[in-house]
Amino acid sequence: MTDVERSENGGRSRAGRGGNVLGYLGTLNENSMRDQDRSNERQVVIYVCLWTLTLVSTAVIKGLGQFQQPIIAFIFLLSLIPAALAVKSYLKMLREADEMFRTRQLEALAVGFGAGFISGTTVIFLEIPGALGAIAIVAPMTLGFFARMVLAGREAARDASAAIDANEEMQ
Amino acid sequence: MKNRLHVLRAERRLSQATLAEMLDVSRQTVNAIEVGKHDPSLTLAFRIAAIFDAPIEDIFLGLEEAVEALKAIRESTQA
Repeated sequence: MTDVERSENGGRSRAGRGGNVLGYLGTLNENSMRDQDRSNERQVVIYVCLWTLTLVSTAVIKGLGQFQQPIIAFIFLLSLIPAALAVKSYLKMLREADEMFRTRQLEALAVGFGAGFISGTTVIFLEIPGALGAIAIVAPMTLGFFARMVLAGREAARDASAAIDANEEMQ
Repeated sequence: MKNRLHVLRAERRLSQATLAEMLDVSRQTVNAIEVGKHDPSLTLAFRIAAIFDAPIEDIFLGLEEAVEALKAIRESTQA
């Protein structure tokens, strides 16, 4: 295998690193992702960041205690706009995604949902109150999703290395 | 699913990246199919067959039983 081919195949060293955060979100080494997937993924990340920003801003504004309840409710409703756009762009990303990319995303969603469902049920039965209860649901859901993504990314990197080894053995 | 994609690709001196581009998928999808970690969709399988100008069952191994069963069904419906 030539250096060029090795490079095209992701290369052992690059595959070993497993790509960056965006690559892990897609569970594929970002260098090997299609432009379309990369662009769609970037759009999702932007909307999620925007939503987080508006949500945190709402919490800060509420914490200041200088605004009346209807204004806070209005600001909160504004934060739903980037949230809706994030969901819409995520659906678009899934629909247009490369099929392995989509499989990995759905697997990660299943793990995240499963973790959230189990922790949510636990929260209900243990009657964990307030913010702690909410964190006990959201944290496992998020961690489950990203843990599956990272594992899938590492698995893909291992497969790439195995393919390079197989090529070298054939030659 | 076992397949001959790696062999066919090597015969035509195509890199994974080039084949991925031709199939409009990521290079890692091609790699995952080659190592048997990912079963392609029907659409992708047909595209692969078209590129290598070979029947699907000649590329993806272990489909013989399914093909025979389909032939039997076809014959029984025609009879």
